[in-house]
Amino acid sequence: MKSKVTDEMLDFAVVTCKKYSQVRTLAEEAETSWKQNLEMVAASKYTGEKEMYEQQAEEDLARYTAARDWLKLVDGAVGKVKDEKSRLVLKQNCLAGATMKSVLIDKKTGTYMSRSTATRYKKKGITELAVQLEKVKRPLEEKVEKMSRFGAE
Amino acid sequence: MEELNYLEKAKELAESYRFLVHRRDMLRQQYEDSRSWFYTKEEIVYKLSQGAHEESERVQTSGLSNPVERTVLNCDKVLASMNREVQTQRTEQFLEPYYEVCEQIELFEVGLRSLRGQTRLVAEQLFVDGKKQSEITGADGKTLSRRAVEREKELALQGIADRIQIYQNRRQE
Repeated sequence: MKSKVTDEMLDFAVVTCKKYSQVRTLAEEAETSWKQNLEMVAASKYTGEKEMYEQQAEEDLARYTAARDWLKLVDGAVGKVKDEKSRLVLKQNCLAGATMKSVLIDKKTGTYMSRSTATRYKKKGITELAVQLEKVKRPLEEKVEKMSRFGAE
Repeated sequence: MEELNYLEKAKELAESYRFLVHRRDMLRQQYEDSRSWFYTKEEIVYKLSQGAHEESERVQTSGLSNPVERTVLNCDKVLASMNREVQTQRTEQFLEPYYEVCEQIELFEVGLRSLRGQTRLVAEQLFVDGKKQSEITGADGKTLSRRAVEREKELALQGIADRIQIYQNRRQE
């Protein structure tokens, strides 16, 4: 398995993790904007005005859907990482942005992973994630392309 | 093509909105009133028969009934022709300016409606109700400070300008 993971795949996994929070923000913004534009469609008085907001709502929805699908694909890839602790580090540190010292292992007991353990599992997790992401690389790129087509930077 | 300064346009519309609404109502009323300019069939028949009567007196030898018959036969044609002219006058004087004013109003209202929260509240009081800056109130009904009103006014004009730009660009597509 290890021999199959190239630097390019690892880079893609790291970039994807960094992008995750941006895409989540984008999805939230697109959803808010979509709802606002739907409200404006209802409040419109003139035909041209209504059409303008309908078009904007349509673009927002497309952007929101693409962002949400992208997040789902990444979540799915993380979910397929076999090692549970690696998965925890990926979810909490790489995707949600928690620090390495605050990766929670057990909510009930409030146990956190040590920094060195988290570092070890992160490395392992990224390698596994790279393999999983490779399988969905094309759809992920398509979603990014769709997001930018409808106004996302 | 010279690029339109949308902020200037927004200011111009905001300042003249109340006047534009008044002008629109006036033009609509004038257009309605000018319906009375149309000729009725009776008026045309009378007009033509006056002419026909004079003509028949002048050229008695050529047959008395001809001009009168012609009057009756031509009545519909003359009526349509004269009323077409009347309609052209009404269009030029009232309808065309009315549509122009409506377009300006539409542009401003689309911009105004795109504003949100306090900005919209202030803009409505300033530009639609015509209140003075010192009379502007917030959502809680309390008078806003001059500085707050000026800030909201600036935001409103910028918001209206941005929306007008999007709206006009869309219409030109």
